[in-house]
Amino acid sequence: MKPTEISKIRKLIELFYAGETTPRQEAQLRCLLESVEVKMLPEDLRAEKAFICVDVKPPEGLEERLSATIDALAALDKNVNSNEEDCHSAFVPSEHATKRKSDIKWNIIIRWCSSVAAAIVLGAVFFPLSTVFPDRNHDLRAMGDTYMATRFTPDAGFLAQQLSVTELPEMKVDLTLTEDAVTLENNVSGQKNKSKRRHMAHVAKKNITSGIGANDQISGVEVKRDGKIREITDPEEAQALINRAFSRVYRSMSIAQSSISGASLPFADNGRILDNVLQSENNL
Amino acid sequence: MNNEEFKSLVMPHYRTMYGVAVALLGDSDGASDAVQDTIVRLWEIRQELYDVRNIRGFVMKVTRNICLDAIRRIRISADISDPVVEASVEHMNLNDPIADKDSLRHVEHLMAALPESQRKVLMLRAYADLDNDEIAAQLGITNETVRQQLSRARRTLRKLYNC
Repeated sequence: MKPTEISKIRKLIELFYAGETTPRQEAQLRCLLESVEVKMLPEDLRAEKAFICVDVKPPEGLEERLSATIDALAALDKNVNSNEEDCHSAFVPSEHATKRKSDIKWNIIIRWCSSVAAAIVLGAVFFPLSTVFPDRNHDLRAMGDTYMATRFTPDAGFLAQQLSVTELPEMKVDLTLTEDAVTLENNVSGQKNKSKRRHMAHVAKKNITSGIGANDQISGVEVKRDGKIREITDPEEAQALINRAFSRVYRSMSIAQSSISGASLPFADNGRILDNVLQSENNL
Repeated sequence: MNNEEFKSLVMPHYRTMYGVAVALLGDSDGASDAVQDTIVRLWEIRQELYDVRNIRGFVMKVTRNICLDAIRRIRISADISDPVVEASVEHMNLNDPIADKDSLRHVEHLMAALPESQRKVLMLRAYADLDNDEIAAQLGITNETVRQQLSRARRTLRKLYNC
């Protein structure tokens, strides 16, 4: 080995440890050291060669791994692009598809109209106009409907009997009747008037059973008619009012009783209470 | 850009990518994964590579960002400033009988024992072949600091190598 080369190597090694070499100079240094056999080197440079010429490199297989990664990415992109093209072609409207679109539109309209018609028919069947616009001025028909309803719907029957049970005690204690019984014929709709009817009938019955002459008592009560108070002086009129009211309260209670018989077991206690009330009424 | 064009553009710099990654992460396996992530990232933006003048610098920048993300994830999952972890690095057995003195593994083993600042500078030079200016830019330090750290790292490593 030439002395100039040795000196050059030494110079480069000095710069190397000083951190002043460039990568190119370091590559040159390694090249010089590797080109010389170890035994040809001075003793001090042999150890330097072993250290400097260590091939610091990335792990084996990294390059192949990265290359395979790139190929996989390319293949993946190719598949994605082909799928996108397939999807795109699937959504491009053809002539046939456009024609079908108009057919589908008409089908939707026809289906919509059919649905509306079916809804109207079903509504007419299950919700008759009488339930939507009830004729509240027709007392007898309303009572008949109520009776039918309570016969076939236990819940409604329960409500009817519950109402009767709660109203009866009030009828027994309230003796300050000032209503004209005649107004029952003119205002017989709604639960309020039913209560009034029961109330009047009960008052009359109470007066009779207390030993007072019905005619005398009724004739002494002031009643209101058309906003004015008048006395009922005709005994026959008073008797007719009593009979009418009596029959109505009895019928109302009968409806409640029959509804109880159609109700389920949880209403048995209420039915028993109503039976007791009816029995006491009969005793009266 | 197809895969062959991409390879011809990027693969010549894979050593640089690995050098940056191993310098920042200090882990050969983690560095390999980071380089692979860098490749994936570069593939995603491959159309922009036509406009890049300095591919090597661009690749190093992307690699560095990938590594910093990895470091953040590591810090979230496990605090690397844990004194137990640091102690395990500092007291690494340099006389591991398994390590071959002439092998690359031995040098890497010794590099791991260096202070982090010196190790980063040394790895960037050894693996990525970056010059002092590029190392300074990567680590955000001055050129003179790079030179000093590189000098100290080499001298220290030389002493350890002879032991």
